[in-house]
Amino acid sequence: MTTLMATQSESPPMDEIQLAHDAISNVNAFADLYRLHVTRVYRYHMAHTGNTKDAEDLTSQTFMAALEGIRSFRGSGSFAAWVMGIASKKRLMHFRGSRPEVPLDAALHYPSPSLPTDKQAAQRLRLESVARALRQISSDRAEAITLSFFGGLSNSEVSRVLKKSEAAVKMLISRGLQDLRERTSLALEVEL
Amino acid sequence: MNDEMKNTNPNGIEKKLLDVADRTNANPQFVFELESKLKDIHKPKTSWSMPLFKQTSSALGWIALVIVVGYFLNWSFATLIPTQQPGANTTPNQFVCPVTEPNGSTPPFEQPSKYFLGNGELWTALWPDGKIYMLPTDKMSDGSFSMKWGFWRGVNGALTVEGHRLDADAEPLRADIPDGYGDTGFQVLGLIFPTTGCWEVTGRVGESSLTIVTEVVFGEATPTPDLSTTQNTTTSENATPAPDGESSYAWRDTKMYLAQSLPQSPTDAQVYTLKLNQPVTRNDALALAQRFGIQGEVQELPPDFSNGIGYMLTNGTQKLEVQPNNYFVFYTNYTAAPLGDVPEEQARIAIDSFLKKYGFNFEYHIESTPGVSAQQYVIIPLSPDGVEIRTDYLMPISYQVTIDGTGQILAFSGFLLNYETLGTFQLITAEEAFQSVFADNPQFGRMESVRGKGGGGGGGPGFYKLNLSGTPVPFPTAITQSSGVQGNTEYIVLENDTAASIAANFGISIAQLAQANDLSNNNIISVGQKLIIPSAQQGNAGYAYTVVAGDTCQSIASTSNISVDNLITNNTLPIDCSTLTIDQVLMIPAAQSSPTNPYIGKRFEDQQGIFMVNIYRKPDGSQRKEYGFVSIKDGEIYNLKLEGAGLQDIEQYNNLPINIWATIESVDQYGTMTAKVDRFKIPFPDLSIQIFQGQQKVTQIDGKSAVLFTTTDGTTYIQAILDGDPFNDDSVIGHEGDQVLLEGFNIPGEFNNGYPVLRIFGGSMATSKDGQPAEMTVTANQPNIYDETPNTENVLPPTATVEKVELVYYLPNPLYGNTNPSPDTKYIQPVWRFYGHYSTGDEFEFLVQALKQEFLLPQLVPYTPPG
Repeated sequence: MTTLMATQSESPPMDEIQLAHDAISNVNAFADLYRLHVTRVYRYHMAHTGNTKDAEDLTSQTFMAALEGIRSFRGSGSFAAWVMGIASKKRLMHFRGSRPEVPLDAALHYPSPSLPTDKQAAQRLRLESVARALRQISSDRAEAITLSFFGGLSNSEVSRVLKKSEAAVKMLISRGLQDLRERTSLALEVEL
Repeated sequence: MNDEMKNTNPNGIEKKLLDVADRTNANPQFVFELESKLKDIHKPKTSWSMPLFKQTSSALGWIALVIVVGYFLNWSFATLIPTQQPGANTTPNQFVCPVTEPNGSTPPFEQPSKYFLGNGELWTALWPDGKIYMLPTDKMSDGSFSMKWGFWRGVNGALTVEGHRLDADAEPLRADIPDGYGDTGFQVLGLIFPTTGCWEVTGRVGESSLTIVTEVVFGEATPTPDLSTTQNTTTSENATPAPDGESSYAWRDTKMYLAQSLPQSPTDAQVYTLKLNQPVTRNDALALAQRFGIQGEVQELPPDFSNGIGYMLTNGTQKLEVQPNNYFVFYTNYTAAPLGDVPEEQARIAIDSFLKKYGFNFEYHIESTPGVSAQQYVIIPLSPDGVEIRTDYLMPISYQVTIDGTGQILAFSGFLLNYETLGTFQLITAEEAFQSVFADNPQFGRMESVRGKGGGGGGGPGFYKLNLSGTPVPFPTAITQSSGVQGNTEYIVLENDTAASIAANFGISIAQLAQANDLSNNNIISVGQKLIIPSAQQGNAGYAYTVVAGDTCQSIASTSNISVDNLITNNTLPIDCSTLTIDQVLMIPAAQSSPTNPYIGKRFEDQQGIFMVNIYRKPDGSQRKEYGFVSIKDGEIYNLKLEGAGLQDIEQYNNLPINIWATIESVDQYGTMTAKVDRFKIPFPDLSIQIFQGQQKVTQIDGKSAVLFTTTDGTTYIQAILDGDPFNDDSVIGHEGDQVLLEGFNIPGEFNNGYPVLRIFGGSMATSKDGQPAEMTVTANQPNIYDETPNTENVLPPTATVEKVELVYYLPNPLYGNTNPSPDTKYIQPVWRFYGHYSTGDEFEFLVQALKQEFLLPQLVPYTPPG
């Protein structure tokens, strides 16, 4: 299973221990960290909520909390895992009562500039269906998958966030993928 | 629905997820607005807008040190660079392979490395001297050689790779390019060279291409430099070479290669100490300001989050700030300056004149900082011998420089420190240091760092405290780590001791302790009892073992106290051990991951959980079977691997309840716990997994969410995941109230908050999209199959190649010091540095303390992580 992520579309993971340390007192260092990780956090929230408004809300909350707690980043383990841990907690606390169905057209995504416009409709469909499919499998597995594929975390980083062993994470992801494949209609989604 | 699913491409789901993720991007307006909001909230430090310093390394002032070092350094660092001998190892031949040299052009967003080659559109990483050393494990059944290779795409498009042999006729190169790496950026691929020889390889993306020429060799010893040069070399005799003569070592769970021979060692070296004036004084700040020619009043810096007071001087245009930890920043023109791109050549000239102007007269390297900012550079001062001072996490000590759009130096920062020489002390040889890297030898202080795509980290047991008093302190025979318990041959049991805790403290297994003391199965010990502690050697760290006549996998595993399975996996032996040969070197892994793992020895008595049969399939078609167990005990979830007789007879109870009597025997480096089962029972032999239909409803119990499921016959269950926890998952299929199908089972007598518990594996809608009733068949009773694909770097541990072995200085990163650093953080001491790359491309660095043991104390310096 690949752990590479196109999340590295902004900047690469640098020596973030140094950056995080600077970020305590240096606003630009924090801004750098933010830019390095905003996409992974946003993607993670999108995969779980399936709609832009909630994802943006949660992304804001995540980084506000990260800013408040930046001093508590001890540098053991990656910064990505730390900020995704915050994202995860924020998502869990997010009100999950009955949410109005968001019509497809309203859920606007901003695809990469290279994506031709006729593919945009297809891409909207896929994200919604992924989010829906993830809700049909056990949340442990869904969480492992979201952290890995959308949050762009390596298995060891996921294990940090979930507080499980790496072997357990591998199992969760593997079974989760199997479930998505066999128990949801995700595999049948038509590519336009 | 299920039948259709099974025909889909097993990799399709992963690709779908990656595709969707890749194309999900936030509204740029939102991103920008959030950034502004965050910056507003962030407590501003001063009212000036400061250029940003966010380098990969901290800075150390060479101010006084260089002067000192210049007078006292009297030995040379031996950095071995093998001489270029193309074709020298083969029979004399007119053809000289025109191997491509790297140009150091680093792909965007990667850490710089001299092994990169790029043309602005495509990049790749080359092997040292253009030679790829193939190993027996790379050889395929048809005689060709396969390996992983990487390209970085600066242009969009799919990569294609082709190649052919230059020095003889051969079949063309084959390339296997996996999906999932997106449209641009890094792409890993498999290359298959039909033969050894001189090969040309071309990577193409659209119109762009990059061609390299490389040698592919097999069965060759690594090059020995020409003895007529001044650098003498000795090959290691202590480390056990592999039987085929190459410099490869069984190491941890994989292999380590030495691309160069170990250099000869100097007999002694200096140790320096920092005179850290922390917190910094007004006079320190004043002195430095005078050096930079700033006249002005010394003011205190506004308080920030660090401890202590910093100082500032300014004359209106120039400003100097010195933080309490001695980190200074010199702003040459702090009110200006639009940043902009400046050609690197111009930047280097500007930096050079700047340094000379202010009296920083030392040799140095300059590194630009791609991916961070085009305007910032890192200056790495070198010792007179051309060597860097290293610190933690693969970082050299350095200064940082910011340059504006006109090529002016805007800001310059680093550490303000003074040094003095402590004396000259004797060193261990490179071979002895390598013992620590190769065999996890706790006799030598060692630190490790790794850095790669996913970030970086450090580890290792750590360095020992220095003992420069002149009176050696003897090291005990078995050194344990943070527990501080010395290795004795006898131990008297104290109150609250258990067999497990004693064994763990001495770094041995419970089995060893029990055996040495004839303890009964219950491992019962009494206070005051005298126990014999057997030698920690075999139980402590992994080590290499050479096969002798008469050995079998069973006999070796038994005497080493590991399982046959463990032995086979760690040495990639076939299941029947048929390839075992005399003089073969095997890796005996550690019986436990760390001396103080608290789970070892944990006992389960009549513990109910779920039994799992897991099959792991390798791409070559072979597979192995493991038994798993998941259960909650005392509020903690246990995910165990089971070993024991009789488990193969109950495979039909996969994913169903089982009661076990077992003890955790080992924990591997991934945290997986293995338990030996001495007895088990199937509590509900007639229980089977079924499909239930009903409706789901989310409810709140004591403030936690749970899902209730009411079946068509009126029973309301509380849903739980496999381990029985109902509060882990509050998601429903479709919407609440929809008719859904769930696959699961209910354990008779299991209730939670008054509801019978339904443990589920998954579910789906009861009607399919077209309104027809959906079908769902039970599949959870089948063994759980996991495919170990070649792209999973976690399954195939990467190999490590040591490319550089050198003696350098080490200083703990001054940036992470507090105002009262322990004496050891002030030492600048010689260390052996082993630097190289994993086969994944990640860099690693091992630092081994070079001072002889008589100058060390048998206590580790407590590791203070940064932050």
